[in-house]
Amino acid sequence: MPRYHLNLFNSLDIYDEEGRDFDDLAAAKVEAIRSSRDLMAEHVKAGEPLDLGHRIEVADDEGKVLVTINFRELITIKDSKGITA
Amino acid sequence: MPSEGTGTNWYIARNQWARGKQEDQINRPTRPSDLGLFVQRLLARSRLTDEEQHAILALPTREFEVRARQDFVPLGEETDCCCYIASGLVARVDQVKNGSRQITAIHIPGDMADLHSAVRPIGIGGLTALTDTLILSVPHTAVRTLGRDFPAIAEAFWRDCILDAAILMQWAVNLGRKDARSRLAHILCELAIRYGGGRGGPLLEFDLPMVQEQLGDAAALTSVHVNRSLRALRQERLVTVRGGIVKIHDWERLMQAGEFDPTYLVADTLPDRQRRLVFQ
Repeated sequence: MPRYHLNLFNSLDIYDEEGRDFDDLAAAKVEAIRSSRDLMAEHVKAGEPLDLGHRIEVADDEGKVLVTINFRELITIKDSKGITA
Repeated sequence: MPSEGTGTNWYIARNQWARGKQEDQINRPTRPSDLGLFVQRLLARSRLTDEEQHAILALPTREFEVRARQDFVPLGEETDCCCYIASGLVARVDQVKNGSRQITAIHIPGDMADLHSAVRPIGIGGLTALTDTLILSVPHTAVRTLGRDFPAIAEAFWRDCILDAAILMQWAVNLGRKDARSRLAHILCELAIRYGGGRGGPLLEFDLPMVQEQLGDAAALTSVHVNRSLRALRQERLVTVRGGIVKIHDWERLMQAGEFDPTYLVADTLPDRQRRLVFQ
């Protein structure tokens, strides 16, 4: 199974030195999305500002970035009048 | 991978178990091959005579090796033996429909990971090896016979099972009510006290051959979140977890971070708590 590294760029830049084996790139992407949502949720719960410019990059063992998950793409904010962000 | 959570590996392990001594073809170094650490674990909270201690050490055992990530007690399967961890690291696990796993307990060498199975052989999760692990299995019949012949041993086993229950209760509070950083701090504090022998003092440096994904399964976090939280704990100079080794830099502050109070692990180790309730 290929190994991918999920590098996080939010208030800290955190490189995933250990990496993890996934069935394929699609599975790594699913995990990156799940992780992004999880981190955003914790920020919201803690009352911290949510920076939609944060992201997780999925890289291979050589460090080549294969997929970028931008937090902005994962969240929809709306009020009763419709989508506002 | 969760997909490895099938019964297949268990049967391999069981075949190895059945072959017993024949598996000596595997080259292995000297290692703990008796129940000495288990007796030490019991003695931390129960008084046992020399005769009783020897009776435990004389329990029949069979060795089998389990490779990292192998499930050797699958979910929902009835067992006929208890699994003592001679070396390595084991987790109790359960799994939800989407394949996500939740670790509900970590067992270290010296633990009889499923002592309760001697009286309840089914329905309390499965066991999986977190790293290459050596198990000594003890037939339930032998465990029950020992309890019948030595009531004080039955009492010691009872206390041991209650310790695991106390750990599980704190585990639930930890996962249910704390943030990511606190959860990981709590789990590391728990292991430090248990590796310290359960007599109060923590071991400040120990092996923890768990990858981020497994720590995530224990703390109900994604591996990215584990990585981020461990970084935060390291930057605060509380603890460093790297390369399978835990180094605690500031025990007091790590306990504060994890809202950890070791009472649930050590309350019954005080001499007046070890009083025997049954007499022969």
